[in-house]
Amino acid sequence: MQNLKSKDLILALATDDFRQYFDENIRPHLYEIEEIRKNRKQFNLVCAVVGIIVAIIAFVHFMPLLEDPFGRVFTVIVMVIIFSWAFRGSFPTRRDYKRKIKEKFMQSLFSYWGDFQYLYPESIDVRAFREFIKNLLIFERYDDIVMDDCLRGHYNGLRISIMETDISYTVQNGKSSTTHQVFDGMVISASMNKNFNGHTVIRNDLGFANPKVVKHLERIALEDVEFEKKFEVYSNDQVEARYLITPSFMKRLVDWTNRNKVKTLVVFKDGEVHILADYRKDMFELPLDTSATDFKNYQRILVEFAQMLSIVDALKLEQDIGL
Amino acid sequence: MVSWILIGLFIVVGLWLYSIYANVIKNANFVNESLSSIDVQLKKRHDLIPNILTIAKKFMEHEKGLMEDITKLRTQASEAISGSSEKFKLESELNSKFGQLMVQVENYPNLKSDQTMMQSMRTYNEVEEHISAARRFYNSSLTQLRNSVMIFPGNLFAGFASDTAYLDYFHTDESSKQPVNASEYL
Repeated sequence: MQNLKSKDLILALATDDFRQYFDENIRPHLYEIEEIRKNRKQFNLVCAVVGIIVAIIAFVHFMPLLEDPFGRVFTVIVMVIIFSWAFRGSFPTRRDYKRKIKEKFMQSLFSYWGDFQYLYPESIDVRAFREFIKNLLIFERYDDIVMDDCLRGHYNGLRISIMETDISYTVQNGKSSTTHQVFDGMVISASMNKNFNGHTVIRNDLGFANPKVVKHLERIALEDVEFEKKFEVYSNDQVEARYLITPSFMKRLVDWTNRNKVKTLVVFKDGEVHILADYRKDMFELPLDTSATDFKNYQRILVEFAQMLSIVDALKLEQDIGL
Repeated sequence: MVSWILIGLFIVVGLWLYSIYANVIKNANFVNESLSSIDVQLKKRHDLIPNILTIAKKFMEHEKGLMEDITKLRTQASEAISGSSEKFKLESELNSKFGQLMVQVENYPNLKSDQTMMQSMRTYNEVEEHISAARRFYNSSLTQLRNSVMIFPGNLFAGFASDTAYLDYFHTDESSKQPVNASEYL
């Protein structure tokens, strides 16, 4: 499967070969997990039913207090406590369940593709990753970076790593605070067949708010009008930026973002290309309400993965010519 | 009071005119920088050509005339003045001739499979891409300069950049605009 293009993989996932691979290598490990899911689901249901009954009894009991403003506040607080207790069971369970299920299937699932290796967020150096994001010079403002699933491997001769990342910042308004999500998607880093030493960034166009310089990077004016409407390029090397961002590359990037409706940012740094695709959804996740052995969920995860790799095909990163 | 307002107005207008003048000069310098970046890349190509010709000579006995043309054009292009239309023309001819040589390499399987030749051709392609990028940088900076000296009030300062603003744009050579006849390659 290793040398297949992403669109071929999507086709391969619909064949009996993948179903057979799933039945032989993945499904046998999932029965135990399915048992846990069922038990937890039952437990959650019982908690919810008990919670609702207790809430009704409490409401009837506190009804006389409703006439008094203090009584109304008191009743609301009691109701919130009861409902939190009733549904609290599902939150830690969801995390445990996710973790267990990923331990069981992630590595085997991605082995179907080739030499992709799944890494747990705990095994990644958080400080180094934060430093890496900071040095990309792509985001103006953020104060929190959360990492989730990470995959490393080779795709069509390129060394690739995919990191699910959530970047946000919080604004304090007196006693309350609001969190703004800056990025929620995948950071796809790939080696390139082109040699370069500089730092070039393709950011979203902010119109009149575009800065003239970003740290040591200056704004680069490119010739593609459609590209310039969507993006703004900054680099420390005028010629190298144009060597990397050829007219064909600009067209491919615009086409890919239009087709997939995904905000995409690109950074060329240290001889690698880093693509930040803002999918705005949690990828590689299994729903709690369907069976842990459901084939379709695993098929969907690999389709999502192939769609992610499709950007490598669309931008033709494996080529060493600028066409 | 009126005199103070007039002095203030004079200073504001003076600063505004100075910023326009500074912008024109900055853009002119930008064009010169982009021109020198083309020269840097062309120098790389000129340095690479003798190496490729040395390897090619061993195998391509029937292409002597073509190789001599390339050597001659290389010498002429190296001596031409940077940014002149003559330089652009010579470089374009050199590129075209060298392209012909690369096509001929296909007819010599021994040469095509030679490791040093393969490496040289790869480097040549990379240099060509850098040249193309440098030319795009030049065209872009020339447009920026021309816009700044053609639009009022920048045109008041056009004289300060007249030698740079009216340089030629880089255009592709006529041969590359011709339609490709696929049957020639089959």
